[in-house]
Amino acid sequence: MAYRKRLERDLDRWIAAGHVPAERRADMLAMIEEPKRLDAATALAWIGAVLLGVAIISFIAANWDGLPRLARFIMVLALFAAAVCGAAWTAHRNRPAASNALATLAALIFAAAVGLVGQIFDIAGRASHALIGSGVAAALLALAGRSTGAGLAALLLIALGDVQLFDGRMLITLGAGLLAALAAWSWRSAALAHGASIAIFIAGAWTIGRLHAGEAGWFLVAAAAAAGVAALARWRWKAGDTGVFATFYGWFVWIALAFLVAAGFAASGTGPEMIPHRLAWLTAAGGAITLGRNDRHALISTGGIVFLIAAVGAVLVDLGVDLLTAAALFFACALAALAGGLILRQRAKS
Amino acid sequence: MTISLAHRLLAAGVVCILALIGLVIIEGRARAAGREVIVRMQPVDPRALLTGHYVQLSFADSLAPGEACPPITEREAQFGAFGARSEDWLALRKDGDVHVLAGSYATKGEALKHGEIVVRGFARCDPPFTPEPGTEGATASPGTVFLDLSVDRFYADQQEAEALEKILHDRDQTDRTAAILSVSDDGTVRTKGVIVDGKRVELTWF
Repeated sequence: MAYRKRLERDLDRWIAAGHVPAERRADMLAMIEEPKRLDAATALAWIGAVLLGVAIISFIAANWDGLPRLARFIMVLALFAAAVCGAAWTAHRNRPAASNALATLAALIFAAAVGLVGQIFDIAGRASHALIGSGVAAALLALAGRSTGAGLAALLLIALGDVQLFDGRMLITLGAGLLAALAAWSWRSAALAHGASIAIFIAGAWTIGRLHAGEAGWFLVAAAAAAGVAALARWRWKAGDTGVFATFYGWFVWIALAFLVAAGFAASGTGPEMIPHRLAWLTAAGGAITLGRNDRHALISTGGIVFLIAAVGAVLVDLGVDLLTAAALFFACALAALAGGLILRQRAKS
Repeated sequence: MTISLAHRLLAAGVVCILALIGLVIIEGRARAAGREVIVRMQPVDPRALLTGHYVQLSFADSLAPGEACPPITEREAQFGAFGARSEDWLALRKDGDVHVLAGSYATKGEALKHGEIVVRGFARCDPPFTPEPGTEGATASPGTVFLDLSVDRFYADQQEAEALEKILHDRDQTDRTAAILSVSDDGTVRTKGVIVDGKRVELTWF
């Protein structure tokens, strides 16, 4: 239920109970800050920009054989220039949503243009380099125009190119993710914070997994680092720095849990030696649910539930026929959860 | 002094456009400056309608009957740290109008001792088959050298591609097709065009 609806209902109760004068009701409701919503015009602008981008890419893919190569090249550049000029003009007219959409479109056109120029002039090159180059251009447009859409496009292009380098690392994506996180912080963009967190997670997991295959210790270090970032983000969020820190907090709890899980699989042990890891997994997932509920953070609660279900599945798979050990493990976790709940309730009462 | 968002966007756009123009000019100059080699190719599906009309370049050259495979580096054990194998140095020697593989080597210096032109890439060779004397039904077949260079396609306009397709459809006559390549000093290969039935189809600006 929306905050306003809840407040209206509560106000009516308070007025009926005589705690609040009825004549104050309208003034109090007028003070509520309505959350910013995507209006229909903005939504249509985004849909239009995305569809236009798809149409342009389809047009490019279809090729046009009748034109000389030079004319095709000029057309590609003109198309890109038009999108950039549109973004600049709308920025000048103080229309940030339209500017953002057009800068995103320009970034996508540039990516298509790189491929098309390679085709027009038969430029041999690796797809990974073309994608990373396009990503860098998108990042440049994002930084120049404070465009979160272009920033997300940059992250996606760089990650796609980085994967295709086949060098076993995703350090470029990791760097891009960190830069995007800084940009998200600076611009207070939740969308970019989501993208940056996902990029950092994928690049971090990929790099650790390939560089240190079988070394659980690195995943544990990464899990601890992610938990540290989550704690830092939580502190900033609780200190009133809302917006991106809530997003970072949520995602880095997920990342810490995921790395903790990966540490167990990297160790690739079987049987009883995996019990401490599974116990830690169950405890961390339960802790995340508690934390999420306590902080009223849906992303963290969801993460805790997802990882708890996965942990239960893993324990059942691990222990197989040894259901007695599984039962003991779940019983220990249940006791811990009950004890934690009781402590929290006692604290709330006192 | 603060630069407005609009001006910053325009500046970023100009940088991107200059980068694209620079790429085309640098690649064009490198292609023109490289040494031209003609390498025989095997006809394969010549057109890709979805990604543009291009001629797929598959470098395959039949050895003369009884001719042994050229020396080829066996470096399977030396894969890169993460599974990616660095390219070999391929030495090419002139054989009539075309260039053929003289051997593949681990270093440029070694390759240069065996061929006048060296390129980066991979090579493999299917050795010639000679049946045991008295084996019924088996016939001798020459070996084939396959080159894996960094180029694998030549974009052609639809009309050109359709004309090439007709010729390339006749797969028995592999001698009728060849690729024109430009090789830089650093061993980088660029496509200049193709030769089909003696006709050169080259990249032009217009």
